[in-house]
Amino acid sequence: MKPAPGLAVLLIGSLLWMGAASKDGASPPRFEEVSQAAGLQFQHVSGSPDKPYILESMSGGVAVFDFDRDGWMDIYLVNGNSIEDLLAGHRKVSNALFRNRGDGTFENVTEKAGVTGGRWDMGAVAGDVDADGWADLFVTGFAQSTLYRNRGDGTFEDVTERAGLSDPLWSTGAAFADYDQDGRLDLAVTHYVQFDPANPPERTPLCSYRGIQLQCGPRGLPGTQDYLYRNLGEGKFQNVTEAAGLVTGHLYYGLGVIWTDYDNDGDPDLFIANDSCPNFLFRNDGARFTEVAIESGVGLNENGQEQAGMGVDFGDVDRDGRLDAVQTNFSDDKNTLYSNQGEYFSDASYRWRLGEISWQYLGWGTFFFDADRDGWLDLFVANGHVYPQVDDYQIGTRYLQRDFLFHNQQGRSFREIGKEAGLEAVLNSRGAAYGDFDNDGRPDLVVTHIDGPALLYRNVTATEQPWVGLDLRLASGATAVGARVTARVANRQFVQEVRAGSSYLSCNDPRVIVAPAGSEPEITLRWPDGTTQTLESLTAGRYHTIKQK
Amino acid sequence: MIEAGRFREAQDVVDQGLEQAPGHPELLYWKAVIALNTNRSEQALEVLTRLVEQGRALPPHRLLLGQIYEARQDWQNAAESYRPLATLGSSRQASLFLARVEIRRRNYDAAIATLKPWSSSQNPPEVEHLLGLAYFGKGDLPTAAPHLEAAVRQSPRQAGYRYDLGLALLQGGRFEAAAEQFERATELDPQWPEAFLYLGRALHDANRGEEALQAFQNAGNLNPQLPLLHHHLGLLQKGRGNFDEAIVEFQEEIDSGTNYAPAFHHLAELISRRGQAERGRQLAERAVELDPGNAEFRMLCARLALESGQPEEAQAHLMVALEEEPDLGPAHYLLGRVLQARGQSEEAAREFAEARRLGDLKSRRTPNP
Repeated sequence: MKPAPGLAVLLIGSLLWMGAASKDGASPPRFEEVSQAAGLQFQHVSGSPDKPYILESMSGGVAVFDFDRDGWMDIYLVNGNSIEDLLAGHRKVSNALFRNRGDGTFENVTEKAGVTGGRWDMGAVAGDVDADGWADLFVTGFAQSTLYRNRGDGTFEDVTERAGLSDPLWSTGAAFADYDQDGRLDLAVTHYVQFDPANPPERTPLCSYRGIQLQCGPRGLPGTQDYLYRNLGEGKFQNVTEAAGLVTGHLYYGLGVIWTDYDNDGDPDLFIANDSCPNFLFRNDGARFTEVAIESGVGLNENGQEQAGMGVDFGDVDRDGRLDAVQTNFSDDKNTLYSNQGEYFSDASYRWRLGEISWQYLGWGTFFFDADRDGWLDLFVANGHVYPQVDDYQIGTRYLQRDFLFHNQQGRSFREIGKEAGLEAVLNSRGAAYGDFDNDGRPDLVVTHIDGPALLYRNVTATEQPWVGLDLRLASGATAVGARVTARVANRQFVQEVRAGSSYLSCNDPRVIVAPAGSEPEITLRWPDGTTQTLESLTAGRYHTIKQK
Repeated sequence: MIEAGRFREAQDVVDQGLEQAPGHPELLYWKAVIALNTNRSEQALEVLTRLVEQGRALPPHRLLLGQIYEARQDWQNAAESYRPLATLGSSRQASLFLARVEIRRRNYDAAIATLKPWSSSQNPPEVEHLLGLAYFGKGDLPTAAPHLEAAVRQSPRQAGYRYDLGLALLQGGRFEAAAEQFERATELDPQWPEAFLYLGRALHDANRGEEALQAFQNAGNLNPQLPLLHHHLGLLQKGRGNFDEAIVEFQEEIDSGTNYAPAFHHLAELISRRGQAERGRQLAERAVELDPGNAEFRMLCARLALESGQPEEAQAHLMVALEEEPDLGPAHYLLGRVLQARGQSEEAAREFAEARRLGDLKSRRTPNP
């Protein structure tokens, strides 16, 4: 895709905020599907069409990151396998790294880069684990996780074993953050269920849905412990799960994971979306974590029922300075928006008009992003059912589903506009991430589909709302994961965080776009180590690399 | 003359006979029959009762009297009318009638005992049917279904047998098989709204929502006032995520004057999601008023009260809910939230822990070794 016209208009000297352009009723978000034209040719493979095993329904994620530091966001897509090949120790497909040429097209550099992946991969997250300024890549998968170290020359090396990250379990979500604020990125990895394709679980009454006989799990299968790895430096990690307080006595089915400072106390907390179980929220208490999901109001829904947590994100949807949470769930249930009330969260899904519409859809990848740059966070949700068999019945849901785009109605509620915004594909979505692939300040989308293509949606929303993009870097040159950006306009504040890992087994563009409508905002940064900085004299309409001093 | 429907002439003949032979039992029997057929059941009852009181009632008198009581839903007197004949073991018909009445009176064991002398390996369909109904009433579905199936096998064109078998299959979770029976019942009796209603229910449960909708519509066309029609339509629409339509159905059910508590509960749940908090609370409270021991209804009231800033009221509802169902995890969770709102954080923590423990137990999750 080509850079948007007008990108070259530099407003030198100050962040010139054109209040007149930030009118209400500006054009709603609009996307164009450009995968073919952009050369993003990828076919996901995940077992057989009828999905007799749960392993066949869960892949795969997508990571958006700039692996070659050319200023253009690249795309890493995760692939699956077939049960037969898995058992035979083969894999005919591979993950794929697409390099953004900067002209609107991508080239597949997987082989050259050496990031073909493991046995049957699930998700991916990018983070500069050795703080050398080059983003590394961590890939989760069935019975194997892989850490690819970015050599900085367009190639990666598998350093999993050396790093102490070998993992025979079924890993799903992964997210980086510097939880102990020692300047190094630590890693949280979720695990799903214990599953052996050579000895699949015996059928029980739990292997059904609405009386339809289906694949078994996750209910009825043993869960597995999620892991926290502390980055010791020099390329080594240590599994500190127990010492850090992440062993709760409950083995749940972990999927989406995100680090976020939900309580705004300056350190990253850890949220894990658990499938068919209560979620986990590990509050960072300094030396250790305390699991507080249920008492914080994000463990269960408003009726005290567990949901099938898949994807997750945190964002300040009402611009009150507090990070709210969204979690995607199963069909016959709603996606849940947890409104951060300060002391705890309340389930505000219906008030935000997120609940009813999602009832027949099964949600996966999700993220808050300002699609139309009106200063209010919109919400994307990737949809697709787990069971192909639902198409044989009249239960109101289908295997292939369209995705949702919820347009934020000025902090009062959402309006679902996916179809009219151009998200018309009816496929079986899984991972999803945003990335500003043409650096025009309008976040684009990439969505993966099980047994299907990856789709790239270019954001073509007509907007003149000024913006600045922030590429926040530590002194080492590594992305400042965990940094918090607060934009204040009048008496409202708008909080964003730099993250590595969220959604469903995916990873968004780590840069932050600031575009609160109204007037020129005051932008302050809080770096991961807690130091703060006010930004001044930024030119609107472009990205700025801000390095911590 | 009676068979030809010439009741007035028959009445004259009987009256003349009674003038000549007052109290003649056979003539009195026909007098009662004529009275019944000319909408004078009171007179028929009086005639037959007098015979019984005088100790002159013959088996046909008792059978007719029992049927009159049955028509009046006076099960006690119906049973007393049939019982002497059934007890003697001399009248198969009386035993069948008594068993039917005992089933109506929910005396299922008594019904089975009444039928026992007439049971064999080759029961006639009416005996199989009644045995099936009795076991169904007892909740013994594995025993009920074969009896009802035997009745249907022997009398496949009896819509009622198929209907009752459908109910048993539905109750037993065999939704497709139940739908088949109700479908055949509606074919045999296309004017039977209840059969269409339960056909709709079975199809709904068999994940055939569109066909269920059609069946419900057919039921409504035959009898728009059919009890529970709107309720089932509401549940169908709610289950399919058609919330606008579900609200309309539950509202219509309530507007029809129902006192069926779940209708109020479902409507309360749906509209409170749409910001109609106060009306939602009123409806939820009405559901509790109608069924005070229902923990689910109590929980909705509690949540709505909590959301309206009335934790004391919420707590009162939850205490009742937990008295009814102490292992209801979500109620412990809500109680935790209530206690949290009231500043009782330690008590709240205990409730949250209990909610988690019960959730793990219910979902049979393995503990961390």
